[in-house]
Amino acid sequence: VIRLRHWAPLFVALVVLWAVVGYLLTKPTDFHDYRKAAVQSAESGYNAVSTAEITVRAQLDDKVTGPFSKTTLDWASSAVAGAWKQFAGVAPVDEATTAMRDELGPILLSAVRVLGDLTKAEDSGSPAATAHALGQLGPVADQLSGFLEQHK
Amino acid sequence: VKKLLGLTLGIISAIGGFVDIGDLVANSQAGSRFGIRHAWVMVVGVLAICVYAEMCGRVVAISGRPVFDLVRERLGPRVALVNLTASYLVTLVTLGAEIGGVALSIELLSGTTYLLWLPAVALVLWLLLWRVKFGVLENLFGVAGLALIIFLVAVFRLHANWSELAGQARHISPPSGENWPNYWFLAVSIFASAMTPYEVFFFSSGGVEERWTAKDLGQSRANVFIGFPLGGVLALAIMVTSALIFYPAQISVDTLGQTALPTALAFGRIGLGLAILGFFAATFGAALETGLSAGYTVAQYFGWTWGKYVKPRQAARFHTVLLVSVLLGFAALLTTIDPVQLTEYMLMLSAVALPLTYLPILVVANDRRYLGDRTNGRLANALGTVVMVVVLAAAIAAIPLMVMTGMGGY
Repeated sequence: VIRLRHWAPLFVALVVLWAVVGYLLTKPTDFHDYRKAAVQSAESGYNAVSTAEITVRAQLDDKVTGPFSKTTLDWASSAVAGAWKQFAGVAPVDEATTAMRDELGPILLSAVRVLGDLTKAEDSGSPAATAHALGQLGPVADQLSGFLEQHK
Repeated sequence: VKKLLGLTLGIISAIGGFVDIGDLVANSQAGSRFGIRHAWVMVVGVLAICVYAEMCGRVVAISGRPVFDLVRERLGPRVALVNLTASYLVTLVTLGAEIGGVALSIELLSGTTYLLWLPAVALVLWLLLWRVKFGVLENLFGVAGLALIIFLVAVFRLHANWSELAGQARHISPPSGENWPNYWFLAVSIFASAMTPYEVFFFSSGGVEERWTAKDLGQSRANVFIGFPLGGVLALAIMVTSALIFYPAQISVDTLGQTALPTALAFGRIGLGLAILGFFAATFGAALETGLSAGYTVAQYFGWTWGKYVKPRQAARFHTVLLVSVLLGFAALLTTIDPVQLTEYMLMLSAVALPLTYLPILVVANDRRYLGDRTNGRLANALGTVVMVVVLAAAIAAIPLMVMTGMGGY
């Protein structure tokens, strides 16, 4: 009996914790959840695109090494792909969130494409191709920044 | 001259060894999102670790025994077991994060994915823990970690706007676009990075490895009161460089490559190379320290022979714990969890476990049976109590902040 009394608060705490976690994991998505997911994805995309831009500019100025630039681009590409996957995994719940999806979805896809182009240009070793691909990053970063300003 | 050299080497190792993966991640993230509005947290964190590391050094120098050996004796095996369990788990996660940090540093140099480097890093780490002498382990990576001074120099090269930085440092509040929970989440992360539990396990047990006596109290205090604050300055420099490059562009840092980027913009390839060398040394040195700390805590609790001052054959169980801990840290990374993300979790877990690590130190440092007339004075107790209040606040706030912010995400 003493042992049961001793452990009872722990059992109760675990059951409450389990119930809270269960509720949080299974509750249906609402506008706030969707906006949060969209903003997180846009932030990840913006961080990745902007960092890639700074890094590749530094490489064109001979300030970073090839492996460093490659690694940073790989990480940026993975981050944008992950952001897109996360965003695509949440379904819109109303007109407002549908509009949000229609706005952010194409921007994230552009980010994936532009980073892919940049990686290809880097691999080709042509500074001209790299500079061309780099020029496409700025507008995508601006679009992501605009989305964040509007919805964050 | 030999003593002076030893003292200097000790301080240099303390400076270079202060920064680890937790400091690299937490400070660069905070700098990118909040400027240097968290600078005060680093100051509090350094003060806190100095207060408790001094106590640990004094306990070791006077009693000749590591603090956690005394904790078991003073608080009993049950309380000490809770302490051991929490400390070991946090140290293990820290070890995994440090191994990941080493592999990421190599990836930044080589361009080859860090996952391929993990087995080699774990193997070399274990071999060094097994074969190399304590003094070499302690000093080699601590001195190499001084390469991180490049961040301090970069602050000047990047033409910092000092009045703007001072303005940020004075504002203990989030900027527009950020919120209080995220501000406090990073505050707890930075505080935990300065006070990561393994630091006191290593410092305390290292004192025994080096056979400190009351005569070595001066060296112990010099390491703590000169080395740690200067190490804190390096961590602060990482925050400032991040604030200079990323904060104005509103780019959040979430990779180790981003942390290094400001040094490249300031000094080109040489700056970048030094930063990555610093990352490598800081994380490898910390991996060695966390590996040893994992062995120290377990061996000291069970009363086994431990340490690098005896041959591995004489401390077989201690070395088995080292090997198993390295394997577990390595296994955690094989799940492909991002080492930076693992570091973020490690910092929050550390924050939760801080009271379990630091409260027993305060108790033992006040026990005359171990310290005679060298127990804590009024100042040490007053500072220790204030720090303990902060530690408790950080421990209580850590989990709610994790949940509220989704790990500081939004």
